[in-house]
Amino acid sequence: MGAGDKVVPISLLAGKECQRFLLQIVNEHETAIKRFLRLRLANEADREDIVQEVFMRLCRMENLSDKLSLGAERTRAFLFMTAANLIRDLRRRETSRQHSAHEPIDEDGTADQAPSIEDRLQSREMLEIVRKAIETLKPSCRQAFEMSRFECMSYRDIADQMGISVSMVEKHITNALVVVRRAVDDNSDQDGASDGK
Amino acid sequence: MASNESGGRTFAAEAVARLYSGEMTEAEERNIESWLQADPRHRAYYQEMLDVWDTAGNVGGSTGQETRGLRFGNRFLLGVAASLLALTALPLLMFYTSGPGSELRRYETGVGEIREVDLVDGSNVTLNTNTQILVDISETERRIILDHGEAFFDIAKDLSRPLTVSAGDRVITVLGTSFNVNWDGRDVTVAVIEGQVAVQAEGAEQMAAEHLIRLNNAGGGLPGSTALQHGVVLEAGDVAQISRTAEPVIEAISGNTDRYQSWRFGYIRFDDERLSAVIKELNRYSSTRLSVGSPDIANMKVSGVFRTSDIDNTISGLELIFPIKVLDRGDHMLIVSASDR
Repeated sequence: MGAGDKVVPISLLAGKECQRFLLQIVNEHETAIKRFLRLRLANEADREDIVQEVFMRLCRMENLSDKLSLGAERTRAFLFMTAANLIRDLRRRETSRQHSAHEPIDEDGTADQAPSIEDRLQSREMLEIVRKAIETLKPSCRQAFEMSRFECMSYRDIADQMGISVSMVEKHITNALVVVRRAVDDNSDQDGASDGK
Repeated sequence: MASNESGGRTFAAEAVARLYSGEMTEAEERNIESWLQADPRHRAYYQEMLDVWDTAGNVGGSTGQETRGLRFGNRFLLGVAASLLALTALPLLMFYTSGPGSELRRYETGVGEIREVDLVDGSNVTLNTNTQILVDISETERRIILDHGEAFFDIAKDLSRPLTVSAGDRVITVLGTSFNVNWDGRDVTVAVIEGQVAVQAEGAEQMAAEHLIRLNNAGGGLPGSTALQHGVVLEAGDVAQISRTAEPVIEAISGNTDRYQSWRFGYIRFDDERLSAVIKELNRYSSTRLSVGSPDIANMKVSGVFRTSDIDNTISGLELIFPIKVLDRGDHMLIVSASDR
């Protein structure tokens, strides 16, 4: 098969009805999931692995029909959450691999390089900084952000729960990200760390 | 510089928030991509914001745990519980294990495209224009779903692994043979080029497979189109059209099977067919919509061979042979009688 094949190979446990169902879901949401992954992961092989894994997990679900009967929006929210969780796992594996590979060896003075924001964010202190920054958010902004980041809720569900619009949820999330990002910088400066800027 | 940085971070935050909405459009993706490429710092802002997003997710107590199984969020599960009460009558999907080594694959073609696919069991499938199939081949089973469109199947013979092709609620069962299936969403048309093919309503595949194996063992000593409960066995040269009615009606037509497979070689042949039927067929191969303006020319009989790769030219060619003219109506081409003004 040549490049550009729109083939989704899925090793799965599925009956024919499920396959049809699955096909329908893949057709409906594949573009959106792939778009999400393109903007989230630079590595194409990683992206393909995740697309495959997302749909594979969908196949393995118990009572899939019940869950899918809740509508396309929830199905999509589920696919996104699964993809997001898989990305998180992937990043964690990468980070722990980098740490175990770099730190003890310390060759070529790589450890002298300014730590990237990602490295800094992984530290326990940084988690504390982020936690504190989230606490400083305005109540509704904080609620929306925590529902999204801690409870993995979709924007739609957050909006329904809070009685606000989905676009308002998005604004809250944007605002929270900006505040937390600023807090990371502010705290680094206080620590006197030279972050190479 | 400071305002630049703050503006860049805000844009990055908006992009990340939007990204996780799951609603991002193609235009938005392009917009973000071009922003990222405009300045290397933009990419840094964006990556940092993604890192903040990830880290914030780790603050919430689930640190260090890999995602296990599926996590439809709490809200989702509540929703499921609620819906279970309301939807107990919903037919449950049955999951069962495909045989070892099973791999599900999907193949598709766009309008005007033809594509040949080799399957792992040695079979070969050619997809006609605008077609999609799903293939599941394991060590014990061979199943194909024709979701829509038309395909020519050249199936490797394997008595221990009958192959089924599902189209709508019809199932075609074979041991090894070549045949063509067209599924337009209403009727299924099966043309057998070689060997034997069993066609019935869904659910009787096992019976069909056993029947075919008996026929195979009898060494072809049985008469053609043998009776089969809930279906029919077709032989080489047979064409069956199965209409979608409450009770499946299988109409076996002994016909010219060449008519049903010539598309593989890039042409379609019509013998004395109504212009409206010809136009309907041609429309499958081109994004240009054709329609027939008046009933008298719709019933005009047409014979000829048409190249599927060049439908637009073919249509203009029709004007030379038949008393018709083709009018460009913007979103479609209208065929009217040459005497119309």
